[in-house]
Amino acid sequence: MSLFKSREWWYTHAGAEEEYDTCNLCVGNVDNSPDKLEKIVVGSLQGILRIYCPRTKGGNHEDMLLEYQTDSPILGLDIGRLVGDSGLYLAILHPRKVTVCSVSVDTTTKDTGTFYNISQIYSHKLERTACNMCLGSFGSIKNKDFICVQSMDGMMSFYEQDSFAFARFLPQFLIPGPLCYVPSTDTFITSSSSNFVEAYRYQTLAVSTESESKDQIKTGAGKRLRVDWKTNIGDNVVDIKIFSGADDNATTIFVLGEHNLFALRENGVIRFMKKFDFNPSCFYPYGSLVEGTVNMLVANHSRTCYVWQDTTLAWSSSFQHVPVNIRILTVGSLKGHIVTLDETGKIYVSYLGTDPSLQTAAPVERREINYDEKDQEMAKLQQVIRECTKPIEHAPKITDQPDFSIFVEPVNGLDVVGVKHEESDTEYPTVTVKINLRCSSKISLDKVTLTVAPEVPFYATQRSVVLTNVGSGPTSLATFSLYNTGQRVASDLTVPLVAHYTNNHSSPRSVHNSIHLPLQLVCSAACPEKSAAHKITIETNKPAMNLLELFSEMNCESEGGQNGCVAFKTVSGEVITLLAAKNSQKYRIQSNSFIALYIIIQQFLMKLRRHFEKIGGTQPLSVTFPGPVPLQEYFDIIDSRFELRLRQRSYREMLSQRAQQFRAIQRRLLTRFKDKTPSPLQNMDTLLEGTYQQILALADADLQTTKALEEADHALSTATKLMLLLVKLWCPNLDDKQATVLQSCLTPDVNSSDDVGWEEMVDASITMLLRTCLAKTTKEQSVGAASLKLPSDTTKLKKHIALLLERLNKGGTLSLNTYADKVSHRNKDQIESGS
Amino acid sequence: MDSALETDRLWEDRDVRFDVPLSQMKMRPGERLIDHLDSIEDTKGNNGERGRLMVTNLRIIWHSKTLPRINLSVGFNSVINISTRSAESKLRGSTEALYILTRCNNTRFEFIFTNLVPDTPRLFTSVLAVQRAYETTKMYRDLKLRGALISNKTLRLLPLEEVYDKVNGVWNLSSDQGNLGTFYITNVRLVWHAEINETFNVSIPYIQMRAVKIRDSKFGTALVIESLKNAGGYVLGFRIDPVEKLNEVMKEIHSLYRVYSANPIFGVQYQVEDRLEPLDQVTVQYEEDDIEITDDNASSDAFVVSVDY
Repeated sequence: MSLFKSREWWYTHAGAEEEYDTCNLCVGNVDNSPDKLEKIVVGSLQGILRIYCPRTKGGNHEDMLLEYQTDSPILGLDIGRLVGDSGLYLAILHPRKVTVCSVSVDTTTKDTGTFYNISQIYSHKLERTACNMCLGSFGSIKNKDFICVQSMDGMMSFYEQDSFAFARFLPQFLIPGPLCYVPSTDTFITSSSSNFVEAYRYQTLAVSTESESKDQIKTGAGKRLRVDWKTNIGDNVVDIKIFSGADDNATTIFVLGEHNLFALRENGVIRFMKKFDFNPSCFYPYGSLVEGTVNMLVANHSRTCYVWQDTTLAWSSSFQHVPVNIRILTVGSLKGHIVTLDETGKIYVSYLGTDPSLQTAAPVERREINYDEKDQEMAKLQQVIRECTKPIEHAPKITDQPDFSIFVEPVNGLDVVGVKHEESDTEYPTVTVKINLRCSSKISLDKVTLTVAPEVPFYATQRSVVLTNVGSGPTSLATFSLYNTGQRVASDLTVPLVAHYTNNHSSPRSVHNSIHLPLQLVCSAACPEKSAAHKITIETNKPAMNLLELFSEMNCESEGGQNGCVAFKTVSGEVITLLAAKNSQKYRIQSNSFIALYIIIQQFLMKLRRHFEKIGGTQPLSVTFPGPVPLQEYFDIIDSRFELRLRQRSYREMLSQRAQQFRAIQRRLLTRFKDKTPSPLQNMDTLLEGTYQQILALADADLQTTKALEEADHALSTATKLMLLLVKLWCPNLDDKQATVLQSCLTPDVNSSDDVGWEEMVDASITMLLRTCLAKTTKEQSVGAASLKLPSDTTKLKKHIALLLERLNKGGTLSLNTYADKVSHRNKDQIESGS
Repeated sequence: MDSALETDRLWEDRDVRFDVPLSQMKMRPGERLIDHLDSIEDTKGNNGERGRLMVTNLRIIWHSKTLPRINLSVGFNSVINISTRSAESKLRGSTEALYILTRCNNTRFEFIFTNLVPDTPRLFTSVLAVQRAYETTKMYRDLKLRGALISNKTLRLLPLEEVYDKVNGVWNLSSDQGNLGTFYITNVRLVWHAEINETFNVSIPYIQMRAVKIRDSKFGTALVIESLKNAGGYVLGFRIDPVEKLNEVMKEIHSLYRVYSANPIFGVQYQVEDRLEPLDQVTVQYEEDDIEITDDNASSDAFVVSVDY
């Protein structure tokens, strides 16, 4: 593909439906006109000879000088001095005939000069079908041209003008190749089918006398000729042309192959070669302005024309067609027109120019791109993509702000009419709690369920209340009635309160609060008792309070309470007496029930602290417990519970044994009854009955034990709470954080339904504490962890609790950080001692 | 007569015209529609536009379906080369297309037509065949000088040509003394050749004549034939003796010219093979079934026989 196009100067189409080959074009002043204008002579394989004389650009009807229908196909055309005079004549090669004609202006129309005569001068019949011919001054004769015709089977026939000279067969001939005559060496150049370029001297051809007789020529019995030289070029030869420069000595033979161009010297030595990356169709060498070089026009099948100066590419341009022959034509004074003929008979006279074609087809209209618009569209699309690929949040964000808050109105005293026992008609102390829901945001909730979870001995008449349309209307109100059955001593006056609801995003939510029950619900004022089994003394840094004032809501005066002495009686019947020392800053709480002490101590401390907070003062209230810690009472409770656990276990074992026995007896009885030959029961029925009774008794006992265990759980839980409270007052170093650690180890959460019992759990926890942060020696640290199995007795546990409390009192800290410090410190010591 | 001849100038096969009015889209006398193809795209000029391609014996016409005023008229005489290559179409993507290289008034135009119906070579076959037929029948339409017209002293006739008259003793007045020759008056053209030289001849189809008249010259009364400008603009003078014969020849040429003008013979012969008939002509109408199936099973129970037995 070339950037440049060869400019068309003149064009004609020499006949439709006609074919042309490589030898069917020649250029020359064939009519010997005095103005020396070169004519283009073409002859088609259909036998029509045409002569054109391009004179003006574009061409018109008068440019065709002659059209002549011959009687047989035209294989070759050439112009030479073929008749005695020095004029030029046209040689036309037909398959079986070679004709020499003169072309002349019709004398009758001489004045107009528009009509031409073609007349045959002489003609030779050919014995063998011709392939091609060449003209030349064979034998270095002056001013004369002879004709050499090569036949299809390799016979070279020589005609010296109107007489036949001789004929020779070429040796080792298969297919005829292009033929060329080199005047300087008087040699014929052709190519053989074995890809050799061969040269035969005219003299050699002429002096081969063997084939003088005509018979021998006819039979093809010619003597083998000697090749003057031959050169292997390894390519099929398309065309051979010679070029002689200014000095005749420098004749170059150009051989165009299918992929290469070879330049050979007269002796067959390769001067240069050029490899092509295209398929050439024809070429023409011509003189170059640079001395010692030859220019060549090479046309190829890709419609491109190349100009080579020896091996350098000088120019390339595209053609309109694929030429089969290419020549250079001089039109008047204008030299260097390129004449090309293609196989359909189109003749172009063109030149290598670069004048631009001004009229170009308008480009197809394209819509202009609006970049701003495109940017916007892009951004929009990317937004859509981002939204689609964003991970979906299934769970809505949990806001810290609940949709509403629960307000519990403070309870002031017991209800006038309490809840009554179903059977005994006893009236329980009852309180009514009012609960308000206040929406924090402007939302409305369809349904809110309020639930209270009171612990025994407290009960609620209604465990849950459903509120509708919360938030949209006025403040939602709910009331709960809570009463104390007095089954056991209460250990906690707070009742948890939960509100469940589904928020606007359809996800379940809950809000927590708690109800603080008044002390009246648990106990009432009673007559103080002077002596009691369990006594606990508490010291403060403030003067003793007026107890009646402190417990004003209990109305203790009515029951004989004094300023320094009040007593309470729980619903379950325990009496707790609270004494304040007149001179010292001490208080004493005493009762016959150890566990009943807790609720009073807890309430008393709370009230005391609240009171002094209200008063204020330079020195904050400090409460201490001088000790000793009532370990014995605590251990008694542990032991009694443990005993119950053991009993429950033995009952269950027995129960499983009896049940097994019962099933075994049943099986035996069944086989007896099934047997076709009945056999005596052997008192098996009595045994079954006995076992059944045993099972029933055991089950009852287990049930009772379980109930007792529940009570024991509660007692232990309350006792543990009391112990924790006292330990905190007893140990000065125990801050709130450590107290939490202690509470998690010595847990008040006692539940006998768990697989792992309280004893094992607490023992393991305490062992852990003793082994780590409370360890005193390295030996203690290596004590193995206790296994979580039901221990045989509680000795170990009791020992550990005592040890724990003792160490805490002596200033031990319950912090794992201190333990870590200890370990690193000890390791350091070891390293130092080791070194 | 002069003006009548001038307006009827044949341009259809010579020119490449764009966006011609409807009157020029119509077939001129003697022009025949050989093939028309719907769904052809002018891939180069109107890519993405569906149009109709019509092939006549003189030219190729393409017009857009949506806007018929967008059209092309490409005369076969302007065609330099026709080839098939692959082209890029907006409607069909890469496809085999028809490339037509033309030249008109020293300007080259390239046209690419794509058939939007896949795998139908009709576009290529029709255009190529008609173009070939046009190329080989130039003698019907072109003035020719020095042609190989005569062989064995007789005119080489064209396939559709008939010789109506042969007039001997016609002097060509191109040179001073004149050349004696012969007229052949046919239904397509007028041929003269010199007696002494067969290559001294001229062939003028009626379509290329600008004027035929009798005029006085230095040789006396002569028949003058002027050719059109694009056919060289020649003025050819002939003398026939006596004058009566000249008038007779003149009259004959004139009447033949008129006949020719009404129905010119352009020489492009064609035969349409396997043309698909339009769909509505080959569609067989569905007929409602009016046969009624009557059920008269009086005793057609096959089991009756076996039970009775």
